[in-house]
Amino acid sequence: MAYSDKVLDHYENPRNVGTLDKDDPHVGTGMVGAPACGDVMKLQIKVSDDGVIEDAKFKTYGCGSAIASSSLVTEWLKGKTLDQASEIKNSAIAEELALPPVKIHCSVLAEDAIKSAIADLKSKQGKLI
Amino acid sequence: MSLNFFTLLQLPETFVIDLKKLDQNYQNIQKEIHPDRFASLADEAKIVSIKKAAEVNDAYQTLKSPIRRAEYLLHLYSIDIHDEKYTAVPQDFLIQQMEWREELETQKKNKQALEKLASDIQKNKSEMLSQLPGYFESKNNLNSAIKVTRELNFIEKIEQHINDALIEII
Repeated sequence: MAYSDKVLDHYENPRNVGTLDKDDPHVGTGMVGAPACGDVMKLQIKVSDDGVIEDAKFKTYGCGSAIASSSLVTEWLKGKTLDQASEIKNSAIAEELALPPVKIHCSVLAEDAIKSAIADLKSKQGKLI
Repeated sequence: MSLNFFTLLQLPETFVIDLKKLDQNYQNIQKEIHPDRFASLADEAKIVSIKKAAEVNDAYQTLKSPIRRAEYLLHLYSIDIHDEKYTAVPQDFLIQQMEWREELETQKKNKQALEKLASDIQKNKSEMLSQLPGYFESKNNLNSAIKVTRELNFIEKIEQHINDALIEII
C-alpha cells in the first residue's frame, strides 16, 4: 500500500516528538492503543493559565499512518483552546493525510488521544481546585 | 455459512481444548479431503475439496493458537475484539507497553538486552495466558477475557518487533 506524500512527510520528519513532564499540573497526558494492530500512542499537551495549548508532544509506536496522524495533531493543537482542541475530528485528520479506508483507525486513535489528554488535564486541574 | 471451527474439527466449543485431539482430528480430515485424492474428479468437485481443505486449515491454525482461539470464541459470542472504535486500553498496561517499546528502540542492536526483554515479556504473556481458562470457564468473566485477549495482541506485536530486531543483529 502506498502512503500519501503528507503521510510520508510526517513519517520521515515527525513534528514534536518527545515527552512533557507528566507531573506538571499544566500538562495533560493521553495514552491510547489499538488492539487490532498493537499500536500505542502517547499525546501530551501543555496548557497556559488562560486555557490555550502552548505545546504538544507525542510518542507513537505504530505504522506510518499512526505516526503521521499524531504528528499532524500536535501541529494543529498548538495555539488552540481546549474547547477547540476537543472539536478536532478523526475525519479531518484522515482527509488531511489522505488516509485509505484501512488506515482510518489511525486517525481515530489520534482523536481519542486528544480526548484522553484533555480528560487527564481536566481531572488533574479539578483536583487542584 | 461456513461451519463453526470447533464443529469442523470435532471438538467441544471451549477455551481449553485437547491439543493432541486437535492434531489428530485435523490430520484425519486432511487425509480425507486432500485435493490430490480427487485428481480424477470433475473440476467442480475438486474446487469444493480445495475450499474445504483451506477452511479446515484455517480452523486448525485458529484453534491451535490460544490467542486466536480466544478471539474466535469471543467472536462466536458476537464480541469483536478488533473493533477499531475501541482505544481505551487500561493506562497501566499502555505505560508498560511504552516502556517496552522504548527499551526495544534504545537497545535494538544489543542482543543481550533484547533477549532479556523478550524473556520478561514471555513471562508476562504466560501469566496472561494462564488466566484465560478461568475467565472463559464462567461466562461472567467474559469482560476479563476480552481485556486479556486484547492485551495479548499488543504483546504479540512487540514480540514480533523484537524478533525482527534480533534477526537484524544476526
